[in-house]
Amino acid sequence: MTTREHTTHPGAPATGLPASRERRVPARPVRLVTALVAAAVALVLPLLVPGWLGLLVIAGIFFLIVLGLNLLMGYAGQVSLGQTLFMALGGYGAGLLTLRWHWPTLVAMIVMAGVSAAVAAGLGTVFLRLRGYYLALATLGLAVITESLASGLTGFTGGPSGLVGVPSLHLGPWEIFSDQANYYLLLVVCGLGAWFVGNLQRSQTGRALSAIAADPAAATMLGINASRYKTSAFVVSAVYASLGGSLYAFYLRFISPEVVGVTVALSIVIMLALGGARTLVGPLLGALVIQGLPEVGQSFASWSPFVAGVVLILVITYLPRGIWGTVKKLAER
Amino acid sequence: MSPTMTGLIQVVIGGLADGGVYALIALGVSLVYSISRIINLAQGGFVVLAALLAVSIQQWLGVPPLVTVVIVVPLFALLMAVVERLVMAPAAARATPDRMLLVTVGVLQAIGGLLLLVWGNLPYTMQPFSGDTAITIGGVRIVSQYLWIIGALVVTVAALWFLVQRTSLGLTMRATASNPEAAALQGINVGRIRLIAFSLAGAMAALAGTTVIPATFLQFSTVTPYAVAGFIAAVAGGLGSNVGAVVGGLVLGLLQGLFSRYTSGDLAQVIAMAVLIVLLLVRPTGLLGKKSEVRR
Amino acid sequence: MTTTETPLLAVHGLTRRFGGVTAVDDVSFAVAPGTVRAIIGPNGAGKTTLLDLMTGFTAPDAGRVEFAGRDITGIRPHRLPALGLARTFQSARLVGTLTVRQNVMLGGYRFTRARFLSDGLRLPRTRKEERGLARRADELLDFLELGGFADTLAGDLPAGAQRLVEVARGLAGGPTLLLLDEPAAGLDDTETSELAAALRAVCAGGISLVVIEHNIELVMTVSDRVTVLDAGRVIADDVPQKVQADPAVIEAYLGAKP
Repeated sequence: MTTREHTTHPGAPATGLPASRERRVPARPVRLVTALVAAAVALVLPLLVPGWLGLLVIAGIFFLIVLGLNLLMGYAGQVSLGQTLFMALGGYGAGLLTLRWHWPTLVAMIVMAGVSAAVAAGLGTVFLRLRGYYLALATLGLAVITESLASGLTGFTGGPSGLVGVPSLHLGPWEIFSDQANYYLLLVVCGLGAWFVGNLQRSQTGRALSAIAADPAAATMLGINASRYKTSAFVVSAVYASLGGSLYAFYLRFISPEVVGVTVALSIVIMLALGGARTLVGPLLGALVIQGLPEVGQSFASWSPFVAGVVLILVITYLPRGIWGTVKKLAER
Repeated sequence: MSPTMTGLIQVVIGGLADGGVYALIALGVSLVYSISRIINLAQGGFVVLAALLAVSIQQWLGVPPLVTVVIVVPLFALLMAVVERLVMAPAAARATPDRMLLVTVGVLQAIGGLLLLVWGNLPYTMQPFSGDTAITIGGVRIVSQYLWIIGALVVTVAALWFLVQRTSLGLTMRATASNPEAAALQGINVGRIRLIAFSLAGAMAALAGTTVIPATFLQFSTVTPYAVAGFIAAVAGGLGSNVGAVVGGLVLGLLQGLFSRYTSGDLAQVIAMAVLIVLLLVRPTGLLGKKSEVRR
Repeated sequence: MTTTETPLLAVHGLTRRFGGVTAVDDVSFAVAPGTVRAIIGPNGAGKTTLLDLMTGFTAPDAGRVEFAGRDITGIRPHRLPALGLARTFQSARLVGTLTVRQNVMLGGYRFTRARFLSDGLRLPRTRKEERGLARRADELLDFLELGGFADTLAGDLPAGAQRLVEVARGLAGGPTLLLLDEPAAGLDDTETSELAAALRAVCAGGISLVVIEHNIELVMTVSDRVTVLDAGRVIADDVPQKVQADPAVIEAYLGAKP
């Protein structure tokens, strides 16, 4: 091939193709400063708005769960309406282990995350062969089973009124009891969770997942074993959901079938679509909006389910990338 | 007849009545799916809306409960047409099928929210159409409202069959269902057919809602279980197959009823779901469905 | 082609039936290393089915496929890159949500051990792999003169550029044989000649090509040998000039229904 000039910048390369449209991603220093500012704000938030801490903790828990789902649905393109199964394993599992059999809380949480991973690995190989609606339906079936078992195994789970008296999380000598303590704990856990998912997204694994979602046949031709990746994504999402469930149980010291009900299973997917899949901030935004709406005002509380439904319809129809995804796209112009 | 036998048949009847409602919901889902490839998860929600609306109308106007059917069914046909134009059509033009499912989840959520707003969180019911009557056959007591429900199902199935098999509109619908792109090329106004399908689904939802509420209590939170049941029955019976939807709904109701006799209601749900999931994994196209792309 | 050289790819008596139709009927040919083989034929001649048979997307009813002396008949497609075989598809199937560079980096999949744990924790191995993949991707993009598009979303590119990116992606796996399914479909004349230049450059680099194509001009300028299919059967197998003049071939194309 004859040597040609090395053109790296917009403007037609010698091939006569139109000028490239490079994405204007903000420069590194800008990103770093934004991150630091965000971190600083997050750290002092408890002092500024102590009344909101409870809400923020719950939003953080759901952020974690939605982050896990993002890996499965946003990147690998597999619809799961059944994350509550793993929330229940983590929440009820850790709750029972610590309440009835006096296990240490941290150990219980980690063990249940492992159990969830195993369950996901087992279910995944079978379920993930289904596509689209059928996978959605099968996972919805899991959500129904979860809620029914939580409600029905009364002797075990406390029945419809739930499990009461779950101890708080203990990290060594410290008891994570107050809203503030839980907030900081969530900050760390969510930070690590987001870091992990973010790393995956910018790695070959993340690209492989995107390829599987976009075009399974082409992905296969590149050597990617799609079913193994999908199952692994499912496992990771299960671990995140399980940890979220455990943290919920330890924070509120209570868990009930409603918490792991079908409505919640659907709302997790709603949070992801609303905030913006394939982003890191999207899940956080979605969790804040959905968890925050009922709190906006006492009289607003009965309006909020209706508003949430309408907002979801509008966002899915007109903002396919979710709120944050659309914001990012506009910022890149 | 022995008491256990009577008890069993009693349960079967109750299960069939539930199943009848599920079948009507599933029919609506299946019909809309076959025309537009959209799975309308909100169908179950419309059932509850229709039911509560019927209760209110009955109380305002003081009419006999049966009359509410005549009022609410056409009203709902119109309502669904409006929803199709305002919500479904714009969304379908912009979204992939997976995202359309989420839109219908949004509609379901909005309906539940509307019910909460207007009717609060109280349960509602209505006087049965034929009063507190029941017929008794060989020791088995069949509440008259159950007969109304099954009757509604039979009428719907018959009317739908007639429409689809014996009218030119039905022919057009079948053509659209088997190949939307080809139908459009043949000059069929697919958008109009979709509108009609949604409208019919609305009528079915209204029929289901008005006939079931005299037999049970409904409230804003019943929206989700009905939606789930309808979705499950439609898919298990085979998406796009009307017969499958009816069979799926009846079987689901029966399974729930039968199992709840031997275990608690919750565990009955579990077993019914587990059966469904196994079915889905083993025979992905559902009981009577056509082969579509289900697996890789 | 010297007859004593082991062919890189050899297809023997491949047959595939779908219901009553024989899509591929006893097709045989061999591709010598370092050459370009074109497979042409009117619509419905069975070209894509043949490609599917060679790459394990369908199993043959009869016959076998050999690659570098190894029987790969009916092999699972995801094992092919490791053997040195890459394939592109009829419409460029890049991942639209990733950038061009990211797509090409993905092409190097078989050299990486993309594991959730090491990638999620961004272990040193992952970081090293990422650097290597990015470097190789940029090299390939420059080679095909696509460097300016490295950071563009693949979905935003015009069709011609997308095809070239797909070629780059295929090359990133370091194949010895690249199979291309109608790479020139939907391209205008300029884009087609760019594609031809790129393919010649690739072959000059030592990689063999099998090109399924409709576009006769591209085929004539690029290939060393041409196989002509009609109704699933091989009706000609020769150098481009001879095939062009072959009456049976002309009849197949002229007589064939659109």
